[in-house]
Amino acid sequence: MIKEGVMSKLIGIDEISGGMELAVPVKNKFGQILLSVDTKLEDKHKKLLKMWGVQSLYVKSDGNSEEEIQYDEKTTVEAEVLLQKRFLWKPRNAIEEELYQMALGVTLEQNF
Amino acid sequence: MDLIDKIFNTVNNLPTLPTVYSTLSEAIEDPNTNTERLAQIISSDQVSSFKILRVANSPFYGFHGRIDTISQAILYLGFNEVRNIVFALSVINFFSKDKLLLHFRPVDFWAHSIGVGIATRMIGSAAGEKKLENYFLAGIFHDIGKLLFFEYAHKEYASVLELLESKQLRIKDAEVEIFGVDHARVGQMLAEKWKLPESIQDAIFYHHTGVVRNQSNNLVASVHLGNIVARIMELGYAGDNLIPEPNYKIWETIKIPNGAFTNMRKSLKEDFELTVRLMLVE
Repeated sequence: MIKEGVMSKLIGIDEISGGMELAVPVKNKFGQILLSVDTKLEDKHKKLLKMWGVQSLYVKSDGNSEEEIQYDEKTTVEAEVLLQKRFLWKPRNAIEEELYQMALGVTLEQNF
Repeated sequence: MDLIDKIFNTVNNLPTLPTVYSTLSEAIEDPNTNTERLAQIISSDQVSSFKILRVANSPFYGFHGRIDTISQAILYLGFNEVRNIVFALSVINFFSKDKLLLHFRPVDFWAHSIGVGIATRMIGSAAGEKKLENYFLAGIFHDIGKLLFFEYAHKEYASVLELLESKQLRIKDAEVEIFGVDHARVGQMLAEKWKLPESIQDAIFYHHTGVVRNQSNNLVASVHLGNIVARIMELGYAGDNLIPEPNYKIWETIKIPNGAFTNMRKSLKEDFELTVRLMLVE
């Protein structure tokens, strides 16, 4: 999850470039952590993430983009709890996981 | 007469569509019609033609303010897509927007429908579909049956809205409990009566399943996903706030590239806000 005070942004995996750091852990559909916060992303991660079916992820940013958001771990967990009331199914593939991440992003923006 | 018959009778007795649309449809069917004749018919209603031009210049059509005349709109978007815009604007005006039923407001309903229209077109484009004609209209009309219930079975629809809140149902399931049919069926009846293309009738009837008689169909799959995306993005309000699960079968045919949903998020929101203002407010 995001450390308090750290800015983050949602990107597609094709946008990964060397030096980016993960702001939110990447989990599989069972909730197991595949990549933890602060992981320094490299090109090899693109292949790995594709293999796992992940299509988007939150990376840390410098806060210069208007799309950037700032959420701490507690807030993200609260957003996930809120989202579970509307999102009653489990993503079964990468594209559905992308829909879930999109819904989580909107929930964070609209409610926190 | 039971409730289902009442609804079916109501649909059968609804008036035909506004004159400009009917005249336009007849003219399009006429082999001797040319662009000027069609432009003349549309331009006969100055308010409509102004709105049509503004919608034709919406970012999601990709012409960004370069369409200045109805003739150009026909040239760039094609006869049918211009007729679709005329039709969408006519139907939005056809139904009252002022009534309120519990937390259901027609304005929010139309905003959701416009959101689905734009998302449907973006999804079709992301999936590599070249013929995007009808995508916007199919999205706008996918839920039209809800408005029929709302307008012509107001009291019973209040029961639907109460039921879905108390049981956390999807609105379509609450409709089936109260009316015996859902808005997809009633909407398809109306589309048939108004002689909309079969592809749009299918999109209305099958938007919950995303497939037509177990056959893949890009337009229907795009409306199915457009509805999910519009609900995720909270564009307007569809009567309940649940985010439906996609039918897994659609992934066998519709191919959405990695990151497409993430990438469309910003432009979808911007296009939605602009188009809602154009079609519902100004």
